[in-house]
Amino acid sequence: MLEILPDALALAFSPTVILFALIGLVLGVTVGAIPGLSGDMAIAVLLPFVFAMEPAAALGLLVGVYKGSMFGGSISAITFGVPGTAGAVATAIDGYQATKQGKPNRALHTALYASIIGDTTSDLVLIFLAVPLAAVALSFGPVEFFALYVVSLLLISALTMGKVAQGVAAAALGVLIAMIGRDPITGALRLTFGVPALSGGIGLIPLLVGVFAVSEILLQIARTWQHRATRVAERLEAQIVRAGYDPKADRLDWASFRSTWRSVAVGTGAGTFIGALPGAGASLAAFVAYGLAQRVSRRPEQFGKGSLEGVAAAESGNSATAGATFIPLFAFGIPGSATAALFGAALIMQGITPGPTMLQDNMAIIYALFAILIYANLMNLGVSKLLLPVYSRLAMIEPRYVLPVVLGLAILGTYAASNSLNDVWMLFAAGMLGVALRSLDVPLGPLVLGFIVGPGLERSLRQGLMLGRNDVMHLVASPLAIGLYLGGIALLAVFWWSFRRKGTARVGAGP
Amino acid sequence: MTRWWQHLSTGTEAGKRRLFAVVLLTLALAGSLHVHYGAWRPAPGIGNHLVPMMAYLVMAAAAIVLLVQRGTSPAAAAGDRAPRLVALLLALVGSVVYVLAVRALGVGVATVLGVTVATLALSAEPRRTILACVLTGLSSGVIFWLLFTRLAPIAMPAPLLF
Repeated sequence: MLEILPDALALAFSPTVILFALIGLVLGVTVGAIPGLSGDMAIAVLLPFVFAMEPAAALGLLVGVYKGSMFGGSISAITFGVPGTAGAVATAIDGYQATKQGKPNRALHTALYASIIGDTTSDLVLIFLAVPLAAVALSFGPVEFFALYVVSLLLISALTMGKVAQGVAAAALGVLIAMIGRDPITGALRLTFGVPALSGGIGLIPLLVGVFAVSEILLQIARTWQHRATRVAERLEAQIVRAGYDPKADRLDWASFRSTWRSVAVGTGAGTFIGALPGAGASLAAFVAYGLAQRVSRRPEQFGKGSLEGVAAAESGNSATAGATFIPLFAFGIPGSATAALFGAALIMQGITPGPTMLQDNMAIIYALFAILIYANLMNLGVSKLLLPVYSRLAMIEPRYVLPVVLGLAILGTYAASNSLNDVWMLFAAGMLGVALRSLDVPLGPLVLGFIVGPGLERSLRQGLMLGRNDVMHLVASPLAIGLYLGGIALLAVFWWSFRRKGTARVGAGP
Repeated sequence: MTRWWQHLSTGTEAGKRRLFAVVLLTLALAGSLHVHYGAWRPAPGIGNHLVPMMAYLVMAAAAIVLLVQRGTSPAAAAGDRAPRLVALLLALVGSVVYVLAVRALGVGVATVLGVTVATLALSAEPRRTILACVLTGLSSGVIFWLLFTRLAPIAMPAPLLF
């Protein structure tokens, strides 16, 4: 392992990779700060472009966008009370109150530092946990992998927005969509209904870009069209004109930030644990962290009234999911969140198959990715600190100029990835499916995750059954598989009990 | 008296749940019939229809849970329902118009025109902001050209008109 480090570090610190990580960071913060645009949307739109890039540069760009958007979401949440991303909703509770009390700078800097601490800790946990877990996963056979896929899909569905039945159904729909095309064992066509364009299956890019980006852009365009008479920029500008604001008095000193250490520690711990579970998103982590931090705080009554501890807890909680969410992807090849699914798609497009063998087969790239994850945090700290005053005004950009351009990019990018207009049709179809599912309050994460793990689930099930001569009991014959099923049930029970007790079943907002 | 199908389009949480359940049940039923009566090539083991059938069963079970589930039923958010219908219509009409425009004008020109028209449509005062909208369309065209022709050479389909 150590002999690969020089190569990995040379890759990670090459000027091109650093440049793309920097571009990604600025782009990510910009996207995160503009309400309506999200990091997932940006990553989805960028997927066709990274297809043509060098793997390390592509990963640098995507890591930059991801990390930038995590913090970017808190900028508009604190400045205007409008969370830029779902993960920043909890940040808005105290952040916006702090702004109204004339301390936006203190809140923004607290959010930035807490976010960097949470994110870096989570990345370190990923680095030190993914490798041993992947080594364990190497001993898995089809039966164990089938158990892992089933448990992951159940967890993903159950933890997303607390809508278990909708989540399970969406995951099943995703698996079904993945079955369209050729059967991998016999090569026979299935579920194509005589449509030649479907014989190659549904492409990953049209589905991801359509479901995540196009559907959201279409909804935003429809909303903007409906409320086009309302000048959002003027409304927001009016909000930030505060009489008597003294920038010199609004500085975050070391003593003030040190007073938030408990919240940062609690947020980081909770976020890292929740982020590692398939399906539990940044929003759930932020709210759990916020609730726990309030319990351990010496000034719990200040929460909700502009408390910097509240800002620190929420922000470290949601950022601490950033690294941990990759643990199931790197160790088992199972994307635990929508963002991990998008990164998984990017890795697949680069010829790297996520899973236990990924670390062995692509050691240099993966260790370079670990290094990028860490230094991107430091870059984020420097760039965001420098550009905070500019970023704070990003939410004023009128969506009517941004949304059509992003939609154009999504369409051209999807076309460019395959040189096929069929994929553009599929993109629109996936966009419409996304709009329909969003309209019915069905979480999109399980659909995409079902689509991605569907082929693996089918392969492991059919191989497992063939090994057991079509005896279904063979699927529960392995002690490891039984352990996975029991572990999954225990986790589901803990979360179900916790949701019922706290009444926070509606809090977790997944993708 | 309100009929059950009238509940489907109310936009309340319960209405959405029921509508999704009906869609799932329809899909599961149609899919199961297709598995039983469709032409599926025999495959080793249980067959290549196993996972689709499992997916249909899971959908049907989820639909039943959704139908019997009780929950809060807040009033319909009419203001939020309209944009979703507009979005679906936009996607449907927009995709047809766009693909026809691509065939006639080429991907680049069609996309720039689309961006300009969309920016104008979203403007509160199109006459006053026409210049800004045209500039947005043209500058996006330059960005697209740089991205897709100079940075990543992509062969765009030849337009019919020129």
